Amino acid sequence: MENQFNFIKNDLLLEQSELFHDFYAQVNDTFTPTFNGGFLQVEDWYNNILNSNDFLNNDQIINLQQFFHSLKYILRTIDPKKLSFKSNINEDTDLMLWRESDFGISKLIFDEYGQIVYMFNGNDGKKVRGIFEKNVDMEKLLYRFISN
Amino acid sequence: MDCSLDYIPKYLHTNNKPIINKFNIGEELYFRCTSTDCVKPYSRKNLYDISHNRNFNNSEDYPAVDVLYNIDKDDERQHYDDQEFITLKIRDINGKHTFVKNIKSEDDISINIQIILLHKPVPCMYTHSAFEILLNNLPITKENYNSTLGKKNRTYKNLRYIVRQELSLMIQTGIVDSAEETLIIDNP
Repeated sequence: MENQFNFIKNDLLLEQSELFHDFYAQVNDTFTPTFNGGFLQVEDWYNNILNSNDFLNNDQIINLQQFFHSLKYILRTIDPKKLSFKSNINEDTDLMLWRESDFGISKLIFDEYGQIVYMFNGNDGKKVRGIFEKNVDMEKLLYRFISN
Repeated sequence: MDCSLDYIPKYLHTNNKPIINKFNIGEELYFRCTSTDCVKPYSRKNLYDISHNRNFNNSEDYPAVDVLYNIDKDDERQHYDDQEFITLKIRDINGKHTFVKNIKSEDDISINIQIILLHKPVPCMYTHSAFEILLNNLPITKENYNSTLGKKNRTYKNLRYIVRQELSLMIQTGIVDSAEETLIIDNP
């Protein structure tokens, strides 16, 4: 069983390393509350978020599932440096994922009302905001989240 | 009322000094950081009591470190030695006498928010100022927060996002600018 798992794991790493070989060659399968872009970490990170945030309601979980589905889809083509996310809890009811770049801080909030809120605060003072419902094109939203 | 704390320097005692409503470009504000306020991603928890010290464009007479004086007479500490502060600089006040940001609810047009920077001297801290948040002209306080801006519904949640974004940007950039508009996106 262990050999079989290692085989699958290596196969995934090989697939993923097409574009970002150096980075993914170092990926291990331990997880932390912070996501650092590893394909094998996605499931663990998602499960960890669900397990450690038991306040999440059905709408939030569905939105998060869509987010993680999109994340897995784009993972192989994105520079892993753009995929370092952290998570916080807001108002005891909302899950916020955020990332920092040289340009500023991007936030994505999955709130108790099923909204997905995107915010970007630029280091130059630029502000962007969008409040979306669950039918939002999550892949586009994810790209926007990681684009700044 | 006079200041009764003898460790507070005389120049910080308000006595009969006037309230100066006008803030100036380049003036600095000093914000003492508590708990998570100055930690990324700067998502301030409370949207009331947003106190700062101002420096009247004179950092020699009103140095930044004054903000670490404790002016709560029920607390024995003279200084908040375990805290730090950040400096904000006023870049633009849109031709007005102070920073003012008017926000309309996108869910209910009868609700509006104003964030305004006010000089609010207290007996032992003449430089005390605050970003006051008004909901339909009612100042938000710790006492009324839950029944006003802190209401648990979608409309007020969305208003809080807007206010938090404005405040967090100031902390992140160190710039106070009421001219900078927000780009609202309807489609990702």
